[in-house]
Amino acid sequence: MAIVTGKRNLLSHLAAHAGILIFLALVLFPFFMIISISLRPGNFAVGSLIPPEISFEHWKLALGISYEDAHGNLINPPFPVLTWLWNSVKIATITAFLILALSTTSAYAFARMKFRFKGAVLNSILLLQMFPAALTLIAIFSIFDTLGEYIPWLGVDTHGGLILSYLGGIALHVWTIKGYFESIPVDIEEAASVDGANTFQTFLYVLLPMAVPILMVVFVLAFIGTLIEYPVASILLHQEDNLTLAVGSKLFLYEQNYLWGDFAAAAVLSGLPITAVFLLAQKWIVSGLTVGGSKG
Amino acid sequence: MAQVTLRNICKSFGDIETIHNVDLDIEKGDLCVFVGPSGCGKSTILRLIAGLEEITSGDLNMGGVRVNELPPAERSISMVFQSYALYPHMDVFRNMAFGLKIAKRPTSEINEKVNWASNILGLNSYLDAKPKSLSGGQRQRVAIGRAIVRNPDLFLFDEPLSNLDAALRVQTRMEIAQLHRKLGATMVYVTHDQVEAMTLATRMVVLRAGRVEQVGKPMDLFRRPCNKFVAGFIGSPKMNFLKVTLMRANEKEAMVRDEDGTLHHVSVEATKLSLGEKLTLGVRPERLDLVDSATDNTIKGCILMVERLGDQTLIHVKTSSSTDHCIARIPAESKVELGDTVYLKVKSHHYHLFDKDEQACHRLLPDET
Repeated sequence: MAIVTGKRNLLSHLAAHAGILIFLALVLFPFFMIISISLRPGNFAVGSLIPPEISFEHWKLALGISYEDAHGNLINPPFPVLTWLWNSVKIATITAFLILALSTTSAYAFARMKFRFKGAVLNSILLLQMFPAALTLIAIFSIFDTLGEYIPWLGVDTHGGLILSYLGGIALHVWTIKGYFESIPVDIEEAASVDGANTFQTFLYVLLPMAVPILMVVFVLAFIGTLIEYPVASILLHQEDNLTLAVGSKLFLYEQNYLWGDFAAAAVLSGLPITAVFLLAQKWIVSGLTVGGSKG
Repeated sequence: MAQVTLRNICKSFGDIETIHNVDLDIEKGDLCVFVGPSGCGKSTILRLIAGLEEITSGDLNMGGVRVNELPPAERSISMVFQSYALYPHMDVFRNMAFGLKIAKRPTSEINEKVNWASNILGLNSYLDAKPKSLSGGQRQRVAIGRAIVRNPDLFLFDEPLSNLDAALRVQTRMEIAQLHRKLGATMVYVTHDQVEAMTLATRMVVLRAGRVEQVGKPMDLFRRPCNKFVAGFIGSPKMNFLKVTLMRANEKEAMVRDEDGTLHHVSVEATKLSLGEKLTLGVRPERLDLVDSATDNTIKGCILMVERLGDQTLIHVKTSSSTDHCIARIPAESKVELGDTVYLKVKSHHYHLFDKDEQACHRLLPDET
């Protein structure tokens, strides 16, 4: 359904394309840069975008493979990067699933049920969430330190504790899902309850299947948010084997020696699970799942 | 005993009461149609019966048991929604089977019942289709199918035809009537369309502003509307009303004078009326006959508009007594033109008469004595 346009539009087309190209360059340049750094021998942040010489030394270290340098010294991987990656993926996956479970159920309550102080609670969870997490770090640390004395697997330096701390941050997701639930006609759930379904069955068999696209969006957001989270993870996790990739990568950059090459390889590595989740989720993020149920 | 009884039912939303003291008995096997203008509360009453809204006060009984507090699932009802409200992510088969699956019926029974329903409704070739690929009429049939497979004690229809086009509406209306006969089920049906109400109902309930105005068989309501509202609501085009004054009254007849000074003899029991009282005279469009000159029982007016429908002609006539213009339904071959002055004669027993409180006087109909 192309609209007939005059010739004058040619110029604005060209301008638009130029604009898009510039924007793409802006977005992609840092990405190419980091790939380039990871493939360059030595640990230098600067240099040409296309490396004159390609070396996989950083990648070998990142993947936990030792290599011999030019002088014949055997270089062992300084850090367990793959363990960190596994930690990150594990924590992010579990957190994203739990966040999804918590936020869909609370969003359902906020969207469909009637109870006192509903508006006040909704607004206050959102406002509380605006308080910067970095400022609560000390509180989070002492909470989990104490918690660990009673429930060891939820204490400091445990993945359980970190996941629990991430579950506090669901207000935005609740709002997102609630907005979507409210766009689904109530009739359909009423039909289900007349059909004999109880509230939970209605939620599970009728509402959730229609909300798959938004659930996927929230899952991806929660997954990425957890994967790249730094402040809380950095104070709750200490042992090297326990770290997430976001926290661990920082170890490549200590004061006297910035291992830019190794850092870059780890950074590219951390992008892989995000890409994978995106590709998997994409086919579910489609519109039109609620079409046909009711006459609009 | 009545299948469903409503006793003194009230419903308030916040401080605003929208349903006022509704009393109603719905007998087993009835197709009870709630009809009224929009906002009269007919859908609300249906939702109260379904259990989708809480009843503020009063008793709702089904099969002799008070069900006010029972959730919809436990009331043995099925409902067909105005918006179809199908499950968009399920195909037709699963839409119809959903209630049975929730009730954990055996698979063989589910298959049997869904196939039975899809046979009745002609949905056999669509069982694998998702609702979005169906037309409006097919979707509504799926919704009806979903209602009948569960074999409930009571069917509720909430304006099921209002989203369909005119031809499909007539067809689906017929199908619902046939379904009612075939299943012998009790049904409550809400509509704002009085034609739908007249054709479908075994009992008709006319509602206005959250109150029941009149309950009865459609033809009884048509012939003996209890007040001016019901008289005006039922029938299309609607009844004409004239402002008149009572000149003489006895138990057989009232004689009234319109604002032209013409006298009208009305066959009603008029003993309760007082002379000189301002009344409203009602006459349906099809009861007006063209005549050549003014006598008693004629309405004189000037034609404002002529609508030729083919088999008949509607003329809109400006008269001095009617609040709105009068509409008369006359034979198609009548030679009338815009601007003509016409005389319309009415038989005495075709009149309706309403007192100053808009309540109807009892009509004395010749074929009923």
